[in-house]
Amino acid sequence: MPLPCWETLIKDPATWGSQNFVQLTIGINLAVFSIEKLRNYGRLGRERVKKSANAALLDLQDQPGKQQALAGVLDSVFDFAWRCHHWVWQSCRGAAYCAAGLGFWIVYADCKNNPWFGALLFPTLVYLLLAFFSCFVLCLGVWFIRSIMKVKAASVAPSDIRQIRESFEAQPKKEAGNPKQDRKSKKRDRTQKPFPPKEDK
Amino acid sequence: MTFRPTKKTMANDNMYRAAFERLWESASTQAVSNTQPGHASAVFAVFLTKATKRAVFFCKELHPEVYDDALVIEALDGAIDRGVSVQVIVQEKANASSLFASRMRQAQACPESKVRFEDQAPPQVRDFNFNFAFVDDRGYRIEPERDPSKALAAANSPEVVTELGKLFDAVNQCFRNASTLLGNPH
Repeated sequence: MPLPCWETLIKDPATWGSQNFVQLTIGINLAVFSIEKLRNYGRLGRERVKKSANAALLDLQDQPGKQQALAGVLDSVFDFAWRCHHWVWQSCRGAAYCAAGLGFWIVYADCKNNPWFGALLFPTLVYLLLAFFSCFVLCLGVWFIRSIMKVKAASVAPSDIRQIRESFEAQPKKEAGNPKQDRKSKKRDRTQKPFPPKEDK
Repeated sequence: MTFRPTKKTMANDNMYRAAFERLWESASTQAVSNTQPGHASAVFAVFLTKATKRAVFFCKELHPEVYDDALVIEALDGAIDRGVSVQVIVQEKANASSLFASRMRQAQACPESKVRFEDQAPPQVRDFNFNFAFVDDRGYRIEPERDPSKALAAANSPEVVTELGKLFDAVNQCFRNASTLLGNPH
């Protein structure tokens, strides 16, 4: 009866390597590919949350009184959540890669009874949970500021600025005009005043 | 001189500045509330620190609490040293005690300087009721209808900054035309 694959790995790594090299390579590549994809989506989401949290914090800080004081507390909470996220990512990333790679291989090689499976998968789960939790804290903070406290800056569109420029460009022509033309028109006015147009009878 | 009533305000301004810097680093397009003078100076300090090509300011007057802030002056000196084109138009006559104005005039006097400082705008420009500032093709601060409670700033909004650039060019053109008519070409 052949030994389970994980026992072969411990007792005879060379044989294990030659027997499972292709599967392991495929497994690790698949794992890295999947994790990178997930990581990319996670990064985009995380950046978005981070930007929203920062903007919400700035809006809150700019408010008078108690809201400003609350901004200090929320800043600390955000900072802690962010540090937690970063620490978890830094500490568990390597383990998460290994665990996912071996996990793929274990599933692939039908070694579900492997005790390493759970042990190696644990950091991945911890990472995912804590990473999502810290992002959740940030989202909750943003929601609290924007919805409960109703603090959000007004937005400005390029068309608003364009409109201001157009009205400004129209104004000087109307007010200042061309001095030479103004003088001519005044002259014309003076000559016209003594000779008002005759009314049709 | 900069007036800082309490340490708490200073701490808040520093916190605001740090948060706005984070916004800048992450190239966030979101506009944020920027109503308090200390926060306006925090944004201007970040603008002048981060500027690489051009920093533009258009305002009614150089409010000392905003423009004479130590960080703003330090950032202005840094921007001038880096060769950033700093352009400032002030509608009213700048106060003689204004540090910002004196720094700008000093820099403008240098023949190789890219700095331009104008105050005492002609009536057409003086009636314009809108304060704004922008830097490169990224950040802006606007104060619509010159109402501080409506002021907002953003760290990365190229479309709005492009429009503000056109607006500044229009104001600048008006300023130049008026100066030429008065026989004082800039």
